[in-house]
Amino acid sequence: MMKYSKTILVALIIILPNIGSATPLNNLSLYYRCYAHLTQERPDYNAPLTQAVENGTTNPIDACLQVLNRARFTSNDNRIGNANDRVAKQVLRTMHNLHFSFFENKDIPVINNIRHHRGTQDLYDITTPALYLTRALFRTNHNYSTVVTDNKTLVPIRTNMSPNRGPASNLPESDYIFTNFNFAAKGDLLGVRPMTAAENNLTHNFNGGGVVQRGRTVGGGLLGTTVYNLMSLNENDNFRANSLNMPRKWARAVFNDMLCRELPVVRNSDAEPFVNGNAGIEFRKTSSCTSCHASMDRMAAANRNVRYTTIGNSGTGNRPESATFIGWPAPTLGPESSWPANIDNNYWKRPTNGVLYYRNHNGNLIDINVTSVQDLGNKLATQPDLYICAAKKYYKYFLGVDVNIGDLNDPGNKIQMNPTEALHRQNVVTLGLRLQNHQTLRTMIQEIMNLPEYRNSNYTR
Amino acid sequence: MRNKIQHFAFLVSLPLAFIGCGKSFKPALVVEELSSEGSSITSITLPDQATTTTTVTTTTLRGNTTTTTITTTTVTTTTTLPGIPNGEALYSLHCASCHLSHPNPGSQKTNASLASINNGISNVSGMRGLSFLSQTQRQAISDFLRVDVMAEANFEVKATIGTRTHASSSFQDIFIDPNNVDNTALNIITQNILNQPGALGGPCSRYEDDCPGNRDTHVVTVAAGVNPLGDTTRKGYTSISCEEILSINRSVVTVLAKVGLAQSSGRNANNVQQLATVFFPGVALNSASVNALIGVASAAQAKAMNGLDQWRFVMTSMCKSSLLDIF
Repeated sequence: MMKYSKTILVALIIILPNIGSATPLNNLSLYYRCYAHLTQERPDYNAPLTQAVENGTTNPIDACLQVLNRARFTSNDNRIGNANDRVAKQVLRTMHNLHFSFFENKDIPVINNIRHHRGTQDLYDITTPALYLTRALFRTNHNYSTVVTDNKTLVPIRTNMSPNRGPASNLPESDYIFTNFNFAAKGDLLGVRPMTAAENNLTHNFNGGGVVQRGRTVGGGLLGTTVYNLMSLNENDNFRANSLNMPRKWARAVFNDMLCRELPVVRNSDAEPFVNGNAGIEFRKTSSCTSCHASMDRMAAANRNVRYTTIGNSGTGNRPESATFIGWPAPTLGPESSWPANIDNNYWKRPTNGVLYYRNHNGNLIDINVTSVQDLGNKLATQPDLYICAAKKYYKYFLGVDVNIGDLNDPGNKIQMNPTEALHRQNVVTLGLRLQNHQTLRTMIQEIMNLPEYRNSNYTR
Repeated sequence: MRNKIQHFAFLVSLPLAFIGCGKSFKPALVVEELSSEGSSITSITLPDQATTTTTVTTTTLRGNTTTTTITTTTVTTTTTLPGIPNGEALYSLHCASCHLSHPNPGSQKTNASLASINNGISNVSGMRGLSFLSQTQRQAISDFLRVDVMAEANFEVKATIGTRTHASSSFQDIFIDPNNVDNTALNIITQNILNQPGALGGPCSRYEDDCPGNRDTHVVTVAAGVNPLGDTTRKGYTSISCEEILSINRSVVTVLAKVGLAQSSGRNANNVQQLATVFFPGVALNSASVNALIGVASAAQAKAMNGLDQWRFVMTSMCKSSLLDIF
């Protein structure tokens, strides 16, 4: 190896100019780009498909769709056909990680103590919410709406479904109070399937022994899953909703993750009907506070009965390891007559009636009653903004452009756009509305790749 | 739609030509005048999308009324994607004739809201003929009209290719011969690029167990926000890797061999273009870039450096280019 003086090296290096604004990529370059987006790798130049693109016999986008299709769940409708297909696994991994990046909360926070926390992280795959999107992408005839309407808990199929050590703690099974159980799977992602009953029922030997359900869900696709609530609830382990304390962080996560919106999502005038100067709860006294809470609290009301269930010893000096779970006790009292302006310590015992309340991308006020998290999901599935939000996130990944899809006409928060931004917003809205119609993520990816912006070197038109 | 004191029957014929995803087409609007002066259009109904009949009712100034039913083949609007209205095309087709093109400093319709468009169609006589436009189409027009004074320069595109996985793959594709792996070069790529999720972005997972050094971390940053014009931290790691790898003679020879060149091959335009295809697949460098790279080789030659070193410097320029970020 020869060494060269930095001076000579710097003196001789030139900076090549960028390829230029809006220069169309040729077929081979375009294939390299879309292949990179799907796999985060370069294609093999000598592979038949690459050669077919270069010699013009295959359209580059069609070639990339062939690459995407390699990760389709063709085996038992829940996993890739060939577990040794490296490209398929890379596509699946890239897209699943992309889906995971869509979520506001990226891990389970410490709820109880470190032993519960470590155990919880070892039992659950924190990418579970993303599994609903990944399944919708790669499973045939699987509507996107199932992301918020499915009533099953999903688990990943990985190459090692029975690791002998926890993925987060690296502790062995023998350190745990649980018996006859599996840690969260490890290895390459191969597919997605519903959790089995055997996986759901976790036996333990704490305090004489028992069974706890680790895969409980109240439906609404990913919204009602144990993992999504563990990751987004972020409350004390003795949390009970009493109209002052509410699962607000969960509701805020739903607005962010599924509708791409940050609170407030209504106008100040929309909050006026709920302002109560005599309220015992302070935030009900002004519209500036109520404008957030009117949406956040009334959505959270659909999940009001959520609570933590901890199994095992607390404290740092005790062994063995334990975990925290989620439960939803059934209502035992009658409903409230209206959104309470005072503390109601029985609030969590009442029926899970709530409201989906927000201004959509067109500025229309959405005001829909819901009766549960499952019903919330069903109602979200009817909203164009659910699909426009998905389009926005994919658009950002493939084109690097982040579009505002909020209420542009809020007089208290006027959003202005230049013509380029307006064009991108229009693209995203169009893609979202089409997704609502065809319900197929693969089709939307195809449409994005066929946009003229995607073909240009700097992603502009 | 203009009010005219002439008798018109509109034969609207817009071909249904679905060309394919992502391709747009412009409709051909044919207006045919069927009779002479003395009448005005009182109502016209055009279907919103893909219907087959058009009804035109005309009333002459002398009070006679005629009704004509015209069968159209298809009616649609120009779309960027099939079936969804394109605000720009709708504005051009139905509004620009009265309200000027857009954007236009003289236009008073900039930032027109849906409400104002609805109000105009309902209450302005010259616009009532646009009642056939659906709310979705009117909203598309409103979206198109939205503009503000923000400078275009504020708009920034951040591409999302270039995470540690992609950069590692690119460097291996360029510098490694899979049939004769240079482990020294491979180790440089692994240490400087693949093992740097914090600097280059990209996921690492406790489930795939590929987070260098930290099992408790699951960092998913697939959308790394890598700016194609250069990100300081990222470019720092990749630039150092370029220099370290290319300081190895074997690496230079390997890259040359991928396009059938040797260290003795001339540093001419054709060979430089060939070499560029290893770094930038499918890209044809412009003559200015090619000449600049030849100039680098010539400068090295002037310093009595041999052919291998001359190619080394050419490759280093290519390796450090932001052109690697566009795919």
